[in-house]
Amino acid sequence: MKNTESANRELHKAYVRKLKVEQRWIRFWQISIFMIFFSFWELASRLKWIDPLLFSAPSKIYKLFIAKASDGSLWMHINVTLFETVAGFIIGTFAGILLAAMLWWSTRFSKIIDPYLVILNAMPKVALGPIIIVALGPGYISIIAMGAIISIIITTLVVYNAFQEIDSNYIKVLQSMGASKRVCFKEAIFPASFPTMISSLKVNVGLSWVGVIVGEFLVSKQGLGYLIIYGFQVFDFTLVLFSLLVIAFFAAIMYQLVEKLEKKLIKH
Amino acid sequence: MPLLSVNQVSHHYYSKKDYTKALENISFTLEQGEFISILGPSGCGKTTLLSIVAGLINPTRGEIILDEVSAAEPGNKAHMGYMLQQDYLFPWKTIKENIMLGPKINKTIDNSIKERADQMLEEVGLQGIGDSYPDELSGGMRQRAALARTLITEPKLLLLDEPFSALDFQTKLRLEDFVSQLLKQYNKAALLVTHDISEAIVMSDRIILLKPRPGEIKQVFRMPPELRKISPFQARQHPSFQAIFDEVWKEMSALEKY
Ligand SMILES: Nc1ncnc2c1ncn2[C@@H]1O[C@H](COP(=O)(O)OP(=O)(O)OP(=O)(O)O)[C@@H](O)[C@H]1O
Ligand SMILES: [Mg+2]
Repeated sequence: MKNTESANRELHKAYVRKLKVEQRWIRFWQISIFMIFFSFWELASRLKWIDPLLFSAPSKIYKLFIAKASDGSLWMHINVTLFETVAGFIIGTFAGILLAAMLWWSTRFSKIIDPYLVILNAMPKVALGPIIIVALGPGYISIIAMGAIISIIITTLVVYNAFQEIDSNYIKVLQSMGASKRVCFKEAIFPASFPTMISSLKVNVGLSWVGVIVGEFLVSKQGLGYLIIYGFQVFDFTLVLFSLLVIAFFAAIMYQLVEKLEKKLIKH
Repeated sequence: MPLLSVNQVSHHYYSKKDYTKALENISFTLEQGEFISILGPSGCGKTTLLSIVAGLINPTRGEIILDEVSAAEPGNKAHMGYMLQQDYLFPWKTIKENIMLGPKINKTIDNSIKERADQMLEEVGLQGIGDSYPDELSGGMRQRAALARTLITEPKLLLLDEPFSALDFQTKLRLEDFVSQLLKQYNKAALLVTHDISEAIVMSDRIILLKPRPGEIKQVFRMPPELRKISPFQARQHPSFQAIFDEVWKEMSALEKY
């Protein structure tokens, strides 16, 4: 009896060890790919396998990073873009959810508005950029609007769909207790749609970056999008690639934060 | 004056093309402390009837009177406890939060209700798991939690839509005994929907047999008092059980030919 108990423990230990080994392998390959990619890039650029003027090199980008970081201009651009992206992301998501709630509230309203939503959703929102900039002025307000507008309609459609998909028997349970429509929304519809809302948050992280970067292209005053378009105009592709890497870095962080939020909100 | 009267209720479901007669001219009354089962084949309108009594759907014709007030009155819902075919516990709420949903909606939460929730949990044999989530419970435990949620508001009338059909046989027998004993103890009335003949026999004072398309009352059976005095479990073994079963079975099989 005791023997089998300790044998079972051994088996469990072996299982845990196997998990750890597997995890280490995955990390190893992730880091390897990263290293190989950047070393190969550096090498290819130095040996002129690729055009160094166009594709730059990690070492050049790193030098640029040191220079920009020490003169402080980098932080200013990052600040501006991050602020615009986060604001656009939050406004777009919340307005989308609010609109979905309104559609849910009135079935007639949702039926009336349906074809317009479909068209608006299909339309490439960045094409509205010039109009937005003229209407709201060439500043951060327009750029935030671009970051928001790009995700608002798709959020509305996806979340409204989730609102409708809840098993109507949950509503029946609440109604049999005398719940009003508002209470049904608060107790059942809204919490049941949390997973969908979180997954649309994840999509919106990417979308609002697109909106904001395009907005900065157009307004061309400051921010990471401006650095890209400026680098393009003066043919400094080190600057372009550098800005891209910075954007990738912060987009990844935003995504991680949303995942943390997901773990916190959805336990059951 | 009976606790509940169902007066000439008919219900039609409409679609663009046509309408379905789900219920046709249903009338019966239910006294305080009485237990009635609605028995009938699938699709004969049992769930529809229960939803109408609960005030969730307005009948096409007829009316429901509960305690001399129309069931459509908003305040009346609080006097009925409706338990659906499945437990429909909210997965993101703990068991205790689920149980206190009724008082929360009716804004009657106070310390005594919290104590009552603990007491309810104990009564349905779920003490100590109030902080668990529904997905951590077995099917039988979930059903009991749903029962506690229905009972905490102290409804005058319990509406049960096949509450035991998804359970294994042993759990079902135990829950039948439990519900029956609880209803007798508090002298509550109940309306049970089922298509299990033996369940109807051992639980009820009267059985209303519905026939399908359209749902009409085919026959009403009154259960003998000797079965009412004992628990459902004992009633299944009572000598007079088999004869009643055969009688109801015969009528119900005749319906299936429709
Ligand atoms: N929402 C609805 N819209 C249209 N027809 C419906 C609707 N709900 C039920 N019906 C129809 O009304 C009839 C009665 O349905 P109901 O659900 O009341 O039957 P039931 O006796 O509860 O059946 P079961 O034993 O299978 O649960 C059926 O013919 C069904 O097709
Ligand atoms: Mg049914």
